[in-house]
Amino acid sequence: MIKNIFILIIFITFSKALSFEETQSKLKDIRKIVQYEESIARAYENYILENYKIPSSISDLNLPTLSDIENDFNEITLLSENTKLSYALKDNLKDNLKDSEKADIKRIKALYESNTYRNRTYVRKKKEEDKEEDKEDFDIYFRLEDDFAKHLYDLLNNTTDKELATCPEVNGDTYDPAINCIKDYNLADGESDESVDYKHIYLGVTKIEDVKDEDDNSTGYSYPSEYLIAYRSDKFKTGPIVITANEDDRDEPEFDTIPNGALLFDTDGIKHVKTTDGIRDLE
Amino acid sequence: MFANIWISSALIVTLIFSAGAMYKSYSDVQEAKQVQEHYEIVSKIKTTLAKQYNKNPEEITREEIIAFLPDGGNWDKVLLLDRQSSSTLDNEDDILINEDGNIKINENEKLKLLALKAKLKDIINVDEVETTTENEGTENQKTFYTFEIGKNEKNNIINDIEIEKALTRAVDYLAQDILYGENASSLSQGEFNAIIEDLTPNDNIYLYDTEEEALSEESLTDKEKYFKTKLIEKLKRNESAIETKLYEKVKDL
Repeated sequence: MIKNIFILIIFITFSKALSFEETQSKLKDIRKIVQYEESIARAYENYILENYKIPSSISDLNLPTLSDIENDFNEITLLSENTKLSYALKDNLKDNLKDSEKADIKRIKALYESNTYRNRTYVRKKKEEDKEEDKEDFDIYFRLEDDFAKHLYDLLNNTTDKELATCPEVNGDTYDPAINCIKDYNLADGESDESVDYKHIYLGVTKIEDVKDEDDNSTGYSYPSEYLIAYRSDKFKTGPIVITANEDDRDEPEFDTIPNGALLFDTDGIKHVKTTDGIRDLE
Repeated sequence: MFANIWISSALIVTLIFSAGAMYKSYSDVQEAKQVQEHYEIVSKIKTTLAKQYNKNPEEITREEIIAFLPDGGNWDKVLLLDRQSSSTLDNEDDILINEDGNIKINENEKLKLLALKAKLKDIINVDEVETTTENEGTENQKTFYTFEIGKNEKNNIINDIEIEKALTRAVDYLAQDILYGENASSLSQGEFNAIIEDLTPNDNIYLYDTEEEALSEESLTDKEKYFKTKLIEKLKRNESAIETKLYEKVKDL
């Protein structure tokens, strides 16, 4: 009996539909949370470009917090697939709500899931096999916009630790399996120039050796001597890109990352070009 | 003396009645003006939103309009309802702007209907306004007229941008499914077509002589085929490593 009265009281308290002010402030919060998700996408891209590394959590991105609406939404986290975010709306659709209020919340949800405020992020329905009981059927994804960021993202996903580290400075080391690494741009005199953002990217490095001077003495600086692909970071699209002279190695998956039309040189100095059919000599 | 009283009281009665009639006609004119103003304001809001987000004004919902309005205040009463102080957004009868962001008027409000029809006679065919009937056959039967707002602002939308957006999104869908997802794997013909069906921006593609419905469940409509061709072309141009890889996987699908 008491339980019934209690349920009745709860029902009455909840049964009033949202007032206009409540609805409006909820809708504005939705816009805020969507903008926050957009800012995550931008920060994520910047992080990749600056650190040559995929961030492991949102806290790596150093974003300001959303203190004023924090409690109304679930905390946003990066999900296992890296360009996927958790669903921010709290799940309050299922409990003691009257139809009119349900309809209100449904429309608020629809605004969150629509593309109105979204540019880099989008909401996608889960596949049948990924659906879980009591969880939303939708995922929030974001995409990268910068071409180099996309290129790096692809490289990083195929690199151990999802990070392109600086090439080790050791003489005569060989690597099996091969590693991908980067070197600061200004290598000719052995000193790196901090003001230049470019890096040299080496893919499939199997050996690192010291640079020898004219008298065959070691200069103390080392660089990759055997590798599949090397290029300066700003030339990733058009080339020139240095590739291995060994034609048998050119089936490696690393070569899929070179866009069509890029100008290639092999280590013997012969010009090639990347086409849809693979790498062709330039005559 | 009696005649005097009789005349003056008759005069007062006449005055009261004519004042009442004048007030009624004044408030009627106001009401008619208001509904025209409402149309104008909501249509301006829709145009602004449509330009800002490159979105078809017909698809802008009431929620988006509410989120656009300044904070607080009785905006619902000013703009979205019929200006009675007791009106609320939950009561179907009070609503002027419905959930789809269109104007909805009960057929009994003849004056408002007339005012709005007069305003819109150059934009829409006023004889063919959509009507909906509720509680049909009962005492409460009501017929509502729904006027779409934003019909003439529709051409503000830049279709190419929307198609391009859908294409980049499709590339991302594919990358998630084939290259980077948790269960990343190769893609079947059916899955590829499902993505195409999901993302084709039907409203933004113009094709003559199209079949609106696909011939069977599995096959694509003309617009979807067009979108698919566009997508494969985009991948073939492959401007990035992702597209190069994806092209290899979907070129034969």
